[in-house]
Amino acid sequence: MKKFNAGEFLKKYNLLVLLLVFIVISSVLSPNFLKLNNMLNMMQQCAIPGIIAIGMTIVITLGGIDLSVGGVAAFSGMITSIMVGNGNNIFVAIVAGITLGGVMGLVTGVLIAKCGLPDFITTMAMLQIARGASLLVTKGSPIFGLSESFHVIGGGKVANTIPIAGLIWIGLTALIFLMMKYTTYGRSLYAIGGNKEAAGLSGIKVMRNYTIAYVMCAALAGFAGVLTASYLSTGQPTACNGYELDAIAASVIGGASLAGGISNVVGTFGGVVLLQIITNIFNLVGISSFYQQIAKGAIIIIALLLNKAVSIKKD
Amino acid sequence: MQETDNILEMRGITKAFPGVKALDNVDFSVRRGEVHCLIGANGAGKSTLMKVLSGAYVEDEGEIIFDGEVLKPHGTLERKNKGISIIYQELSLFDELTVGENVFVNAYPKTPLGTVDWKKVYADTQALADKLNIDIDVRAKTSDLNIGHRQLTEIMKALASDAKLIVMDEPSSTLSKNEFEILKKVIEDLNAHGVSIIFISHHLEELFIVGHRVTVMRDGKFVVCKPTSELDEDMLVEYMTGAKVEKRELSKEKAHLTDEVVLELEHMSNSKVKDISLKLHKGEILGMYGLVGAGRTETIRSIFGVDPYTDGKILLNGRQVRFRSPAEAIKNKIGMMPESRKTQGLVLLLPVWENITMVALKKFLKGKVIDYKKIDERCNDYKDSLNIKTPSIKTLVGSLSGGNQQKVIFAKWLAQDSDILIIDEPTQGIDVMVKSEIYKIITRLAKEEGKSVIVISSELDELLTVCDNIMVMYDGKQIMTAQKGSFESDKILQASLTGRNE
Repeated sequence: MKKFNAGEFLKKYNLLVLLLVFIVISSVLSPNFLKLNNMLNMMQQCAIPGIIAIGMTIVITLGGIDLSVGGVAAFSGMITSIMVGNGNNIFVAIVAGITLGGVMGLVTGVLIAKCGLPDFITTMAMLQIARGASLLVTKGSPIFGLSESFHVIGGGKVANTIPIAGLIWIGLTALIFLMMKYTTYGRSLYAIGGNKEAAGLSGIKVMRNYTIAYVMCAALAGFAGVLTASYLSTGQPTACNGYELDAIAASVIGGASLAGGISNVVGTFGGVVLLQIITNIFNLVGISSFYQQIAKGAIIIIALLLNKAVSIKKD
Repeated sequence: MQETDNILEMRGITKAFPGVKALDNVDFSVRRGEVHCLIGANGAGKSTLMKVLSGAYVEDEGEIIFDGEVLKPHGTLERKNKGISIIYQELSLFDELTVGENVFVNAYPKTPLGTVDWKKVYADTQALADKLNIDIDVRAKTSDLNIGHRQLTEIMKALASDAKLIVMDEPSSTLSKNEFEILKKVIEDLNAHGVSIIFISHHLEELFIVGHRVTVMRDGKFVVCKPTSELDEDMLVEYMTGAKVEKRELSKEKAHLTDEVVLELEHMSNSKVKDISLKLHKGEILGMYGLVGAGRTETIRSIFGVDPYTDGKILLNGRQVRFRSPAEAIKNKIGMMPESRKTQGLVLLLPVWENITMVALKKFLKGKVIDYKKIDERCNDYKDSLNIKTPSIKTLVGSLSGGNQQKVIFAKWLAQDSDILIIDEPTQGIDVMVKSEIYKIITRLAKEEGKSVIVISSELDELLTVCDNIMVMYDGKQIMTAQKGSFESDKILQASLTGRNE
């Protein structure tokens, strides 16, 4: 029989261990934490950052980064809101928002892959452009009172209990997980992230696949922006502010390496949940949100240290 | 020879790596103020000897006496401080810094306040330049300099750290005639100031221009040390090839090749090589021999669609092709195993199976979905048939030994089943046992499965063993092609060393 190896176990499941620890602590701190209502509420809260984090994980797998996702989400949300407000077909408006995200990702992707611009600065510039554009379309004012039927996708609940957005998040996580594991495209991302030159010499179309990854990332961000508008029933030009950092944090907590070649969408899912638990328990206990930020930062460092400590020990 | 005359004495240096004795009881000495040339064919042990000198390798046996003092192995920094400076072929300058900054980067002069004394940096650099009669703008950014001036910057950097002995590794390979003239003058000035030079070059005619004495090495052994005045090129080649000593007994059996030409180069040129013509037959193993940098890799990069070709033609099965990417070449059933396993051949942080399936992943699909069961079976088949020593196909490829990594790359291209396979340095850094396994794989591919193979190698023995034809390159040009049955190792070596075919 195989001997139980604590180091190996911790290496493989360190995120799970961390999650369990936090769940236990939280349930001790607040009796409300484990209640079904709170769980469903958390599911709703996780959905939007969660969907953005999926896209971020795809790009990080390549060894890239996308700082524009928050802005892209806001801009897509605004365009969809305007269309819904003008009485366009809701389905068409949603598709338009997602497509807009995809197009912005295409521009970013081409600039990085074809023109060879550095990803960090390029996506930071795209963030500025998208933020400015979402303010510009309504001269900065939000669009209130979007229709009831539009509210369903982002804020609706199945059988009045399970949030639809949460289900979408889980569904997308599963879908991208399958893509990353079972398609040639998904595997090519790991190859490119691991060694771009070797991947190219193995016949992988590096530039094309790079661009597609940015399109997917931005389209998912666009979709998240649409869901935000739907949830709030409001087109908010300042929505999703700072979400790019949470998305990166969730990916890294989930085991992704910013150097590329290593990532796990399910891990990212766990990372999003962990960050949400922290927000949630602070709210339940009633501690100022200033502490929340400090705690979040500390958790990211602890997660990384756990990852590192186990691998150092292995060497 | 007077002992006191020598700035450097290396006595009885021996250094072994697993499976190979890289240096075998080598004696080497350099006099004060002389230019001592060190030559030898690929793998003769020049670079290993210089690495021992620099402190990068520790000798197994022998002693090094520098400037009257026995050197203990304390790493490269200590050797540098003692006055041994090595200028590598790939210069180690900081592109974004100025000439002056580069020269003093290891020890900036300071003002009394502890800040960098920039005035002194540039004044001292200028003084160094004047001392060597170098015409250079000490405030110019290094990236704006041509290669000759960059090299001179390296030399000034060595002098700034009080180098008494400077090793120049292939300093001329990238220089124009004019720049070489300048380098020659600087070397003379250095000698006049008592600085000794070890000059390593593949260009034999240069040794007679700059050198005082020559030491020849072969197969890790010291061969001869003579003043250049007592030598000529032919004698050097003889020493390097050892033609008289060991003429290998080679099979006289001729190769049996079909007339079917699968790949043909007609006067192909690109930015690095000129006018290359070759024919690769079905089932043929074609070798490409030459010194490192002779243009072998550069030739095949154009075949594989990595670099474009500018003149001539590349014909695949009689049809002209111009691949714009490796992906296109692979689609046309050409495969390439690159020179550097770790940086070009493999993704080290991915497992064995993923590296094996990296090219041929489309063959492991069930519909659109990857069939992991099939991957598992096929990869384990390769693991057994190629004898890849790995705990499991899930092991990360980076943790395998060089030989097993190379086998993984073989499996990767076997899975793709290309008609033409180009293999760049198949056995570099691989131990003898695995080498013979790899020769068997190559031979089986060509002779039993009818694949056509191009093998690039810096080890002539290896090509003599497996190839039907051997093409020799020198300085971006094709010098000769030898056929199996009439291989003459001394002729091939000579052509690769001199660029002449007699």
